[in-house]
Order: sequence, then structure tokens, then C-alpha cells
Amino acid sequence: MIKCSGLKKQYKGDSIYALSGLDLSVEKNTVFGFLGPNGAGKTSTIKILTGMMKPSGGEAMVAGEEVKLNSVSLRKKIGYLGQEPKMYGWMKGLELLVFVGKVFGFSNSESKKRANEMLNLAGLSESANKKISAYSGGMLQRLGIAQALMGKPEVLFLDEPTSALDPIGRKEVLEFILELKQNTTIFMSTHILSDVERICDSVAIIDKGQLVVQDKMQNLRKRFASKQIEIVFESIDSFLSFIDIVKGMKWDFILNEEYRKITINSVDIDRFKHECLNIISANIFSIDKFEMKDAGLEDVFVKLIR
Amino acid sequence: MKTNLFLVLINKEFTEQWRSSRLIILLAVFLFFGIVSPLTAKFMPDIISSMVKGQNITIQIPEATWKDAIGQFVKNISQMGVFIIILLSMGTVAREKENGTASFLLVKPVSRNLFILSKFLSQFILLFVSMAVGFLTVVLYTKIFFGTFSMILFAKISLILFIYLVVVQSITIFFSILMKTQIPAGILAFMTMLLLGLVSILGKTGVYSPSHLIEESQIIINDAAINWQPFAGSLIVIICCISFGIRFFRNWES
Repeated sequence: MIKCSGLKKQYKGDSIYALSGLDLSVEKNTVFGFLGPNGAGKTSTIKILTGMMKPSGGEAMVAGEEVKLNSVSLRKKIGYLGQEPKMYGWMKGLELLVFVGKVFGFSNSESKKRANEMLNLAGLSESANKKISAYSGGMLQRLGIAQALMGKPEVLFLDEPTSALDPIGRKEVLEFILELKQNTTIFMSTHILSDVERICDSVAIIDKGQLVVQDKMQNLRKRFASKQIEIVFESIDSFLSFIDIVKGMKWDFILNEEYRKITINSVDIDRFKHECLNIISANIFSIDKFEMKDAGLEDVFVKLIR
Repeated sequence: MKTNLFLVLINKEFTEQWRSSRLIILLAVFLFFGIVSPLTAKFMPDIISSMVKGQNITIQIPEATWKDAIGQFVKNISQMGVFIIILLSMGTVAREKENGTASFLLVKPVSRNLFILSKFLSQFILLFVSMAVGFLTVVLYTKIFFGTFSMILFAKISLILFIYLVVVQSITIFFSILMKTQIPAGILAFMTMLLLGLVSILGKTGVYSPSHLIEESQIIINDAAINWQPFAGSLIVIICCISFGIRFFRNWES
């Protein structure tokens, strides 16, 4: 449904490429999570794929259409919601959706019918005649998705759709996105990894404008599967003494001094478990917690980006 | 029945102008000058006479005619009117870029050419409507204060004034397309109008300056033959603003 190869973007006056040869492939009717740290090139990629920005190199196809700056035929097949939904604040919710429907070529009655359906789907029927400028952040986001769906898009691009929302708003929007999956391919950029774990079928992680990894969610977990040991020490002295000992051992670990916590990553977790327990008992370190757990997407992300 | 996209965009522009009160302001300005101009022409001699009363000064002021009323309207619109039109038009495209609504609309199947054309045309129509309101007000008040007058002549003058204001609007919208924000667009439009005024004093080229349109409107009051050059110059400026505006906006990246 989406394919891009060697996509490049260099902004005017900038010597560094925001995108330096990005390759991606997204299957039909999936929720695709597009991850990367801030400045990795997520928004640039979306702007290119939606025809809002010209790439400096490479090519891309979305829903069978070649991606070009002013391609109207491409934009008939896509829906887009930016990081912060920017809509005509002077319009009312229903009025905006009817306007968008007409922009997509629907008749007045078709537009009204679809607008009401979308408002219902977005849970905004009661606010249909309220001015958009009076909408809350969560309502704006849901209206943003509703307007992006007005043209019955084959691909829906969502640029960090939940980043500005409170936990309730986030939950609502994620549930809404999941409902759309049957008919639409969803390309969602985010840096909220728990959202990706919750709704995405496949994931790509980019960094410095390049693809680091792309795979199905379960494959990614398998490929980078590692167990972790998390130890929380009772006192800071025990924590620091433990660190002094393990520092010389070249282990892969993450420290959190504030919470006296150390997280150790390894494939050979059993060996590490015994070694850790030996050190703790030999030095009589007091601990609050000793836990073995599976690494999540967050750990995969940190590992790959580091 | 499918909707016509261009009409949808024009309709959106009208609604936006109405709800943001910009249309009301424009109508109010033309209505105000439509009332004030004949009033000023009629009572100015009396005002001046009363000011010098008792000062042993004799001022010979010819009696005001309907031509003075129209002349006053042209003067007011070509000065204050221009300034207000720049202020109201400078955000036409720049404001949409600033607010992010240009990106909102242009990620939908709206061609950039159509987007820009709808901006120019809707602004011209709104100006025409405001101008018509000003015209009718002047007609009404001039009839009241001065009796009969040549409505055809005034229609011609209004048309010339309208062309001049379309030039102002075209230049302002052009800079609104070029600039990221509306204030620089307004400043550049204002400076360009000053520049056109300066160019108008240059020999052979100067006669084509749209600034001469104001003189042309005064010339026809006195039944003299009009010069075609400022009209040609204005047409070139308007066409250039629209075509270069469209061309520039084609490569704009949100």
C-alpha cells in the first residue's frame, strides 16, 4: 500500500539530510507504527508521502499513486492529521466535515450524511454544532481524524495523534484508530511506544533519517527478544557498591540512580541471574526488588537507537 | 449532483470574510466614505466660512457641485481606502500558512492553482460588492444634497477606482503568497504602492503606472479624454501578481 525507496530530504540551508535514503514498505489494512526519536525524520517522511513536501531524492508510491508535490489524484486517496490539528476554528464541527466532503467531490446531501456518520464514529455528535475553536484537545484530535476520514481514504496518515492528549483522550483516540483498521491502512508516527505496542501490527524505527529496523510487531519482539533483570536496592550505598563491582564486567545495563535501580539486558539471562545473586549475597547488599522480565518495545527502541 | 470545487472554495472564503468581520469592516469603510464625501463637499464651504468669521478675512469659495462630492469620494478611497484594503488583504494567504489551515486544505484534493485563484477572485468580488455599496451611498447622498448629477460618469469613475483597488489587492495578495506571515506582506504591499507612485513621475515608463488611474478618474470628471496607458499598466500588474503568485505557491512546502 505504501512503498518508498531511497527517500531523501535536505532542507534549504541545511548541510545535513533530514532523510538519507529511507526505504519503507507498508501492507494493506494494517496499523503501521513509525517510530523514531525527535528529529529522526518522521514528520518529513509523512509530509513527503502526503505530497506536502518535495523529496530531494528517491521515490515513493502510496495507494498505487506516485508521490508528487501537487498530485491531486494522490490526495483523493489519503487522509492526514498533523501533530496539532489545524482546522478552521470559525467553522462548526459538522460544517467543517460537510465542507471537506464537498472538497472531495461529494454532493451536499452525501457530504451531510457522511459528516454525521463520521461525527458519530468520533463520538462528537453532541458537539456537531459547536464552534471548533471551543473544542477541547481530545475533541479536536477526534474531529481531526474524522475529517481525515471524510474522503474514504485508502491510507490514513497520522502524525503523533496522541502526543498532545491526556490519558483519557489518548485511550479514546487509540480505540477510534483500531476501529478503522478494517477498511483503511493507517500510517502512524509516534514516540509513545506503549501506543504502538497496543495497536500496531508492524513497526519501523528510524533514526537520523535512516531506517534502523522494520518488521511485524511480534517478529520484532522475537528478533530482539531479551530478558531483563531489574534490581532495586534498599540503600544508595548498596546501589553504588554494586555498580562499582559490575562496571568492570562489561555488562549491558541501564542505571537509574534516583530510584536506585539497575536494569541488566542479556540473552543469557540465567548466567547473569546467578552472578547478580552471588554478588548481592556475598556483599550482603539489601534489595527491595529483584525481577526478571521480557524486554518491551521501549527496550528494543532504546537498544537500537543507542 | 457533484459540487463544483471552485465554488466550494469561493463560498468558504465569503463565509470566512463574513464571520471574521472583515467583510463588515470593508462595507462599513465604503459606506462611511459614501456618506461623508458628499457631506464634506456640501458643507466644507460653510465650515471654512464659519472658521474665518469675525477675522476680517474674505475667502471666495465657489459653490460646491456634485463633481466636488465625487472628487472627495475618490480622494478618500484612494488614500484611506487603500490603506484599509492592504490591512484586510495582507493575511489572505499568509494567515492560512501561519494558522496551518493552508496545509489542512492542500493535503486534500484541492489544486494549488485553484486555491490561489479562489483567493484572488473572492477578494475581488468582495471589493466589488463594497464598492457598489459605496457607489449607491454616494449616489443617494449626492442626489439629496446636489439634485441631479451624471450617474454614468460616476459609474465610470467608480470603475476606474475599482481597477486601482484591484491593483492594490493583487499586489497585497501576491506578497501574502510570498511571505510566511501577514505583517511583512502588508509592509511590502504598502512599499510597492509607494514605489508605483514614484515610478509614475518617470517620463515614458511612468505613464503606465497604475497610480495615474486616480488622475484619470479626475480627468473624466472634467470631460477630458482618458489615457489608456495606466489601464494597460494596471492590467499587467494584476496579471503578473496572479500568475507569479500561482507559480510561486506551486513550490510552497508546508
